[in-house]
Amino acid sequence: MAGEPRKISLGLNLDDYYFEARHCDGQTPCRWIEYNYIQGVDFSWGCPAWRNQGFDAYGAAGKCNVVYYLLMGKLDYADEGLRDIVYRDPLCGRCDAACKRCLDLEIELMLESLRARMVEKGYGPMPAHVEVTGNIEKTGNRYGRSQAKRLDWVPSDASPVARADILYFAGCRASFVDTGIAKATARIIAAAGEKYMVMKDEQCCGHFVFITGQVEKAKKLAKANLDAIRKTGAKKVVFSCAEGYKTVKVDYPKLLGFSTEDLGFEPVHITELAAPWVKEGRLKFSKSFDMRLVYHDPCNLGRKSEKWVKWEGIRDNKFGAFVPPREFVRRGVHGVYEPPRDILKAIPGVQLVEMVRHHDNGYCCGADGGVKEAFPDVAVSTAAERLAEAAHVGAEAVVTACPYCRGNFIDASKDGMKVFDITEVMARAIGK
Amino acid sequence: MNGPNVFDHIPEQAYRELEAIVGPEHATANKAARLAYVGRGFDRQVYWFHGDCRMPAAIFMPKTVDEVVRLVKTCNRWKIPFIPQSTYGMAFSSPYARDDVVYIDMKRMDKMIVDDMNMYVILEPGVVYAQLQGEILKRDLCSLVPGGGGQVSVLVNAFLCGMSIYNYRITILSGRRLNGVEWVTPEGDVYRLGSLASGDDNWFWQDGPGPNVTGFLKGLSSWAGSMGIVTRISYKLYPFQTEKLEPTGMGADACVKLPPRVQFYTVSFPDEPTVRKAIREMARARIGACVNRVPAYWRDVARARGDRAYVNTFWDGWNKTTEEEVARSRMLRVLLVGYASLKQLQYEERVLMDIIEENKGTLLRSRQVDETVFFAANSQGMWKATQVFGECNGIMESPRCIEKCDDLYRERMYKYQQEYPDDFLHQKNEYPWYLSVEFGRIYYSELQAWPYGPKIDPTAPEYDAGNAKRYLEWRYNTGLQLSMETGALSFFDGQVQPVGEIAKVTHDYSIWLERFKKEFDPNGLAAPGHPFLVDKFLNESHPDVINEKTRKMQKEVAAARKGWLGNRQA
Repeated sequence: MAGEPRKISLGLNLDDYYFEARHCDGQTPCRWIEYNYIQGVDFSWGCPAWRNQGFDAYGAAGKCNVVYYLLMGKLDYADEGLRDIVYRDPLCGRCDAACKRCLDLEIELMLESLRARMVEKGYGPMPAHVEVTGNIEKTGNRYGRSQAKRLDWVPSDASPVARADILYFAGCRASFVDTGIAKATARIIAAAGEKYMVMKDEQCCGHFVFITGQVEKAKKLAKANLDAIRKTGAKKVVFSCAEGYKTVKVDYPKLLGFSTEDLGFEPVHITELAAPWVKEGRLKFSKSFDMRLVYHDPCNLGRKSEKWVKWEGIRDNKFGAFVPPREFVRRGVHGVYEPPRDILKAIPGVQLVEMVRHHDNGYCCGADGGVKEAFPDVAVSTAAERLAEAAHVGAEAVVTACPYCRGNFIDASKDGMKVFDITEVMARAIGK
Repeated sequence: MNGPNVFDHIPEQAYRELEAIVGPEHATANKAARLAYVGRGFDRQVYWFHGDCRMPAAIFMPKTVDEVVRLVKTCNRWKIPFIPQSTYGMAFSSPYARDDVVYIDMKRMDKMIVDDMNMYVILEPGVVYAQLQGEILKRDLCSLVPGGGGQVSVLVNAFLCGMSIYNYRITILSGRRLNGVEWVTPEGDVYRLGSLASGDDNWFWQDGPGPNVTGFLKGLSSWAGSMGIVTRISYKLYPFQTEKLEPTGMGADACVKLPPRVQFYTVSFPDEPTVRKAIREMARARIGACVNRVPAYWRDVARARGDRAYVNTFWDGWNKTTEEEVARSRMLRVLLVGYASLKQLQYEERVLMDIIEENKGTLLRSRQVDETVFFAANSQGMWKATQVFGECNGIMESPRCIEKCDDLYRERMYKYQQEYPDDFLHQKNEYPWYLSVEFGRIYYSELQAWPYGPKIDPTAPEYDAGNAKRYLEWRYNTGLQLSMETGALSFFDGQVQPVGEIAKVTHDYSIWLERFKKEFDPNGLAAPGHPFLVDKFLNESHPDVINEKTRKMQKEVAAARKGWLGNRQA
């Protein structure tokens, strides 16, 4: 007779994804965009890791095998190719969304847990990741800059107030590198007649630390940031960075063992905040932005930003139903897809077209998952392919909603394709 | 990326020579990379779960036919066995692979050239069906997507049995669409078959000067690389209607919106004889691009969507469905296409309505979208319920044969499930899935039994040895017995059912398979073991699975067919 099913706790313990590792059937929808959207060979694949490397091990189905053999003790964490397989991957979540349609397996969690296990065993992260992590630990930001300069971006025409319902969490890149995004965000909020506050001692959100598998360090940052945010009394925490948004909304609860609804505040992306303002007429676009644009869905704002719901239980011994039932499964369909599009469509002169791969089929820019730091050439070639896709549909510019996507696109742009963050486009259209 | 165990099984010099052909970035012998290939492909729940899959010694990814030729010749020189791998193509990957086998992964060869004027496409092994459909639908042409899904290799399935429910004036068998074929033999010679024998531009026909030897490579039994590697084919396309299939929706709701000239009709009939009568009348009236008899549990698969876990939603629905409800509603799903015009569709629709009315059918609501026919054929949806693919047999035969076979299967499954209700998804006395194909001339049926994955997996805590044994006994004995009792020709011979066993009771065609193989692969290096892997699996790992009743029937049937077609050796 059958033994007892093992208890599963969705989170970051690789052992809990034995089922995923064993029951991937190898049909590999994880490599492609949803088939109904495929328009030919070009731009048909969805997995940049597999596309770039080719071997099965770099796609999610192959990684299921790898995890299975690791869990069975038949593959050593010290395997010299393993770290490359695990980390040469932006963890964009396309494989997870694809599998959720087919087998409903938790691939994204399995891959995050695999990184966590690599770190635990001493084989992760990559040397380049250690350097950035060191910066975060020493200075509170990814770039090793002085925290005293974190608020240098604050514009005089849209300054924060001491107390408001909205807290703007600018994040490392907008605070230190792409300060135009932070300025634009502040001006958008102000233009709608709202007030916002900032945290003087804002720390790195920890996305980089989390996504490279450094769970304990990520937990520490999560706790510190949550405490700081809660102390402000903010009702809404607004992000212009997709990575920060997803980290606070999804990964903090995941790391600390609760659900998104128990955060005590509402994390929102600036596009979620501004789209209703545009609709209500509170935010008016008076300047024309005459350009044919495509919108690039950042993975962390689209597929990966759905709420986290804590679940523990078993798969029953008969046919594998979840006990207790899972009433919400993150499949990438409830991400922030329409607000940025609604905003862009409302700007005079904008001609918005879709790339072949969009919404939950959006192709990653290649920057996330620590790829930009450890494998910069892979990140740039992935972004170059995305820019070629934009050109394929006749776009003059790519608009995104994450500073890290924007930066990677700029690094890859050679043929005159312009790149904007959506806040920059909005601010220009407002006249700021 | 080479690990310390690279040269455990093949000489270093051989590896270096093979690596030099494709370049170091397209070669690997790393253990983690190799393990990713283990157990990929069809029926993995049987081979992989039973520990009968091995990892290759190394993997090489060629880009051109020249590289393939050099890889194969080098393998022959060093006496290293090789197996071609592509995208998931219903082919086995690694059961009983020898430790010294290398994989030639064909995915980098993904070129496709469409000749829309003459309605064919030249393509390489890496091109998958969804890519082909996406490209040709823009040109008002159509192909099919087999049950394996939109992600399977077109080329590979052209040499197997890539069948789709869509079949209006398109033969269901993808192999019949082959024109010119470029074939690298197991010894590394390049044969250009069909009209291609006359020159590189002549891709258009299956026949060329001399005999048509493409047949060496085709057949319902899969060669799975054991006759070498096909590097390019020319594949026939068919005209379609001109209106666009517009993609829409996200996640499980992703689909294409159907234009007015492509419409679905879902009909419930009061009993099975009426369904069968209605299907025959449709065939007689020459209507229907797909005529698909949908088993009741598929409805709950289709309904299992939304925010909840699919498996919970499925079982909540299916557990509530009673046998009586299943018996009262035998469902047929018909796709009509106005190929020539909207008037054609309207005519076919009027005929369909007459047939429904005359047979007391009820027209149910159909969303005019497609998720599974043109791009996806998302057969994996069924796997959500139990996490494995539960196939016993697949048949393409005359309507009379299929009906007999389906009746017997249903009867036996019902009896089995009264004794062991929790071994397989309970089918509640439903009939197997079947289709009317090519205007009723052929029927297609799949005899399915869905076990719960972990219960048949010896490594899982939920493993149930009794259930696992009964699963194997059920699929091999029921499949073989039904083939013998009804004459049903299985397209899963060599994949699900053992070729050697079934060949004994037909015309011993396995002898011919062996002869061809020996002729073209004297060194026995191309995909060693194929196409007799199921036989090997049963003989070596489960010799007691085929029961006495089956053995007795085999003897009786074989005796009655002695000398049939003159193939039997003395």
